[in-house]
Amino acid sequence: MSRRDPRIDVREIDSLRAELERRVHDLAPPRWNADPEDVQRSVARLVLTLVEFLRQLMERQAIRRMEAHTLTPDETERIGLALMRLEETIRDIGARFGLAPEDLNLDLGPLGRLL
Amino acid sequence: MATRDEARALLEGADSSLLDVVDNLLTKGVVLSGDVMIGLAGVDLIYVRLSVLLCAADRIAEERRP
Amino acid sequence: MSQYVYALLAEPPRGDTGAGLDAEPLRFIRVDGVLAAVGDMAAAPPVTPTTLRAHDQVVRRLAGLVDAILPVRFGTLLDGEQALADAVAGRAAALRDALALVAGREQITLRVFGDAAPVEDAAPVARELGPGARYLEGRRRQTRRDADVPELAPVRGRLAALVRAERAQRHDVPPLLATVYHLIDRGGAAAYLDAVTAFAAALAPTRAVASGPWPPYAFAPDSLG
Repeated sequence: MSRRDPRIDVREIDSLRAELERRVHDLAPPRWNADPEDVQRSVARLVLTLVEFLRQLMERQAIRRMEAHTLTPDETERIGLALMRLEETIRDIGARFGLAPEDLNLDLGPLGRLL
Repeated sequence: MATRDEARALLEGADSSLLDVVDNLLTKGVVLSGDVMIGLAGVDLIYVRLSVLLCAADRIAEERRP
Repeated sequence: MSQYVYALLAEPPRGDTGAGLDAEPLRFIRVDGVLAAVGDMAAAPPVTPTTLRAHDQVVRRLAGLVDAILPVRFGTLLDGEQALADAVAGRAAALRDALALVAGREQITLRVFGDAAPVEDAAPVARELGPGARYLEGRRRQTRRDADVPELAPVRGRLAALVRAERAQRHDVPPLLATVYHLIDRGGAAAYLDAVTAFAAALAPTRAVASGPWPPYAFAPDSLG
């Protein structure tokens, strides 16, 4: 059975609770709904969120292969440049719709929480 | 269906042992499916249940090799 | 009728597995080299302290009857055995590797509280690298930092003999600095918890609070690779 420090204090539990709230903020399936007042911005947000999600997955995989030495130096340079440009592009297009990186909400349910 | 308020209620009342259970069961473990609800103007229209997730390309190549 | 998935196993459980969290009988479906422990349910259970604890109890009971178990995330409901096969497709190797890692082992969750250690200067990136490789190296270093817990450095030696694998994540919510998940041999929890008590003074003012043992929730493979 579990045993823990009996002196765990309130501030520590609160911080753990806050951290979990960030990760588990919605128990229902994630929703995407276009706001009729600004359909363009809603669609841009969905599209950029999905692209950013894929960018993070690709970056993670590229780093894994870099560490496993299964990329040639040439591949590493090309993938690195592509990811760098992709990150800039997402930021630039987002800025045109008034979307900051934090607005590209990655919580696609279990898929999002994998990152 | 569970909502953001229910998530907050679950966590607000939680002691440290329940927080650990929440951490393990809701943020860890093997993920086999994901869901997305898509709608317009606040009306949910399509529920998508995804039971095929992404896989690393080099793993697929490995497993297909005879 | 759909299938609620509790865990993935390497071999059939030896003994009475009991019922699932809805008092439903447990079934075991072989798919691509692993065994899925499922219960037939019409809908996913609501998320409540009761259902969460009941799911954990089912996983614990199964863990006691097998050597290797990979707990599945709460709320996983799949429509039929084909959906299960699809979900596991292409991941068989990663799942088998993960089952091999967790065989005969269990998890301790260690929460680290306190003030963050100052960030150390890293060695400069090799000058002959092009801009793309530099960028990727920078991202790699940041990724490493996000899983690095230097605040535990003074006491790692005391845990090293007990820890078979580690997963760690830093947090941004003071005083919570990081959570470290340690995989230890089954039966090793008492020794681990004693070590944590013993090193409290050496670690101070940083504090580490351990809970467990748990089934190895944090050692499931990632969605990629």
